[in-house]
Amino acid sequence: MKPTTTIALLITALCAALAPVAGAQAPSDSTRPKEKEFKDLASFYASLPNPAGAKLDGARALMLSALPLSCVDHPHPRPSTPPYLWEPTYTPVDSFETKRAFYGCYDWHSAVNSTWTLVKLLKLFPDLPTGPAIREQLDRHLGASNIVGEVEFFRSAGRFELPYGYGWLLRLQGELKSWDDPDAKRWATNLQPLATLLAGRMTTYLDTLQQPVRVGVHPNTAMAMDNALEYAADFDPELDSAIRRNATRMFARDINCNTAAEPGPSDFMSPCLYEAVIMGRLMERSTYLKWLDRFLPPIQSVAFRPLTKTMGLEYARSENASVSATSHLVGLSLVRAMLMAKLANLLPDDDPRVPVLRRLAVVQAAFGLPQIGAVGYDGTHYYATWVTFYLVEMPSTVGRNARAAR
Amino acid sequence: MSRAVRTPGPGPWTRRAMQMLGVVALLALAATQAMAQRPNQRADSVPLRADYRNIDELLAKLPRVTAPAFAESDGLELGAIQLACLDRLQPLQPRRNQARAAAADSAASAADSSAASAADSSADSTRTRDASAERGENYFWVASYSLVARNNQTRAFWGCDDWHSAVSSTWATAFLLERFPNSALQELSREKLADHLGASNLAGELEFFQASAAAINPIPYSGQRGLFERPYGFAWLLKLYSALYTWPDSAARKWTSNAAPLANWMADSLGAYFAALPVAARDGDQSNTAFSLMLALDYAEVVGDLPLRRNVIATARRFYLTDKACKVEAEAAAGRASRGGGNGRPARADSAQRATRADTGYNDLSAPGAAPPPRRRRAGPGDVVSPCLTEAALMSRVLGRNDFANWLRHFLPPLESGRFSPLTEPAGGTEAVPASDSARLSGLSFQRAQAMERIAAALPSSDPWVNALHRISAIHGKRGFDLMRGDVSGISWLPAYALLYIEARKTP
Repeated sequence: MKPTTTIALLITALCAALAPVAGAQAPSDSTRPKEKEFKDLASFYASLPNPAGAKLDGARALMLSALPLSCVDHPHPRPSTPPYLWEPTYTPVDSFETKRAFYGCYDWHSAVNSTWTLVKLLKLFPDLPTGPAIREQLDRHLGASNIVGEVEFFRSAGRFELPYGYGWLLRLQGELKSWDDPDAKRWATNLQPLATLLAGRMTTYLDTLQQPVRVGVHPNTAMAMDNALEYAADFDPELDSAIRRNATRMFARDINCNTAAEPGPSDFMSPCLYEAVIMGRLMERSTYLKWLDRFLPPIQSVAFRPLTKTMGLEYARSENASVSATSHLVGLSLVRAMLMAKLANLLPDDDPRVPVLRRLAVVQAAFGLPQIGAVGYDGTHYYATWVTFYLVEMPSTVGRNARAAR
Repeated sequence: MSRAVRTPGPGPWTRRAMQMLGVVALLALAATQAMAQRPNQRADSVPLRADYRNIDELLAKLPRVTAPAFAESDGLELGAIQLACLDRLQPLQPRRNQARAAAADSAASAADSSAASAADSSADSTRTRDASAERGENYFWVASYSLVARNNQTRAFWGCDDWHSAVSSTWATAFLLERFPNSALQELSREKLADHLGASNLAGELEFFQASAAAINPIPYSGQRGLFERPYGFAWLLKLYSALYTWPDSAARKWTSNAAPLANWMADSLGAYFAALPVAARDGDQSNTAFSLMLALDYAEVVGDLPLRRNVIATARRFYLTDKACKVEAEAAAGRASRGGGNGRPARADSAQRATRADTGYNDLSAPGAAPPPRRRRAGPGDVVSPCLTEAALMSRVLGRNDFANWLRHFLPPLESGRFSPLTEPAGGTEAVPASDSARLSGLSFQRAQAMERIAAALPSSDPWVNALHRISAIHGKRGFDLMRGDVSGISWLPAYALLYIEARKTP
């Protein structure tokens, strides 16, 4: 037991030593307006604004489908790193239209999540006026030869798009395989070799990951698990058990999520909320509720506030953020909205936190939704995805035309 | 039923046995878990030698090695190596080490560093890797390459395998020229320096780096690299500039003024990088933060760049002031010759301190210091730096003489102890060193010797460690030259390592 004690002492010493530094890095609290304390959840709920919630109806689905349709054929931007000694001249890869599937929408993972968005919208609204255009695009991008080319590329692409893009590809394939539609069956058959390859690598990746990645951008581990979970649970028992095993290993002992650190300067998601969601999907409910109480601060508390505050565009400007960083802020509000909606769905129906989380989701979304046309190509590749993702998680927001979402 | 069999005698004994069994089982479980979480760490197979009683016994046991002389003929040898590479175009595909040095800058944000560590641990399982495909090259855009226009007029450091080696080779050439002004290579060396350090060459460099900085996407994404050659290459550029700056020579004055805008820009950029760095890189390769901090401090003091000096000192104190018990034994593997390459384990300066939080039951994410996970790099044949000695050498410049002596006693194990023994033995040991690894081991020997000289110079002269460190550094210094002469390839960076040692050796 001695080494344990020594290690504990060393850790304590290290923590003590780091404390002033951590304090120095945080913006000083005295300059910030004091956060309001609420005595209970009800008074916090009463204090919240009540903006009109968006509905996923036919008109909105049509608008949302237009964004990915506008980018799936817009090729990834040409690399623009200045050359030091060897200057590259770029040409598109030979026959990309038949050998690549996800060459549009800014980058590979955004092309995948945009494809998912098209699939999800058409699945929910089979009579969408853009339906034929969507089917045509999916036909052209998810053809058998396109996926053969993808598999060939990925065989020697090492860590490219691991884990974020992998997670999205598996979400897309899960969506296709659970869609009772003759076209979808064909696309799923074409896509399967790529899904199998990436799922196998994701299993290895999770098993060899020493610690979870807890950042608010792409490499986040909880987000990768959440994206892959539906496919894994329904179609890939090995990946499913890898997600369960490694989530338990990496997250089950976590307490006091560091809400104060959110959001980081260019975060587009909330690490605390994502972890809370993935654990809610994996743990047995009574165990989960106890875990959640130790993991997240009470919703009405000041400690939870960093997750609920809407970040205005002035925040982006004050940080001298670029256009793309601003687009991440819009993304952040939409992803938070989606996560709060998901979290509410994971709690018992009569839990008093459910309506509060849903209201917070609406408030977050109310910031992001009006902006989604504003950022142009910098936003088309994922705004529609996050809005769709959010709306399907909100109860009774899916319009009458929609079939069951899940 | 169990109550009925309980008898006064064996009862407590059985209970104790059960308790013991339970403890053993728990320990075994804990051990298995710990091993499962660190799949890449193996037990060290070579036992450390026993402690010596005191420093006198160490001195008696150490082989008698005279520190290698450094005469004009040695200077010619090093100078010739540099002259041979300065005009050799860097290859299109950088060698492995350079890719790593370029990647080190990604440590500038916690997001990047944890992404890198996550990616690293998964990469071991993916043997067939293509670095360019990993960055998404050839997915849609396929590149064909040609030499940039007028590279010999718009670039300064385009030779010697990679950018930082070109810079350190230029430094070595200048250092030798100042040291041996009447060398037979004098004219040729001056011609090379004039060719590479012209006004347009250095202006082109600055333009390139400014454009590179501007092209970095502020949003970290998978595969994003940090700023090219920061911190390692930047630190070398500052070292070169400080040598030119102090050299009383009319040509050197011109080169100094040509290089000043680039050096100023890099000093500011490097300072910002250090200030924002959440975690020190403590690996034994070029990414090592203490190594770059030390070269930057040399520059800041020579040139009188007070903001950079303050920044370096604050960064060093933030990372290292409370460090204790550096794991010197972890550096044993770096000093061994690798067989076939790639199986040397990384040496880490602080593995004792962040062993694991697994024993505390809960993992408190709000605890100070809990946030950034330690970076971990692949084990590889790139270890040319002693993490423990380099950190100590840096702190010798950050702390006052007595504070440093005190800090050092807590940081390094006693020189006579078995734990320190990996740093008293010549690199490569008694086995034959394969030619493919002798350059690396030579560089590592020079670097160990250099750091020991820097540490010795900062201790009170009455300190018994001073003499012992000089004795040990002589062993490493000699080993460095012996191994350098045993290799024929890929040594353009090596003279600079030898000369950092020679430079550190002159007692102030």
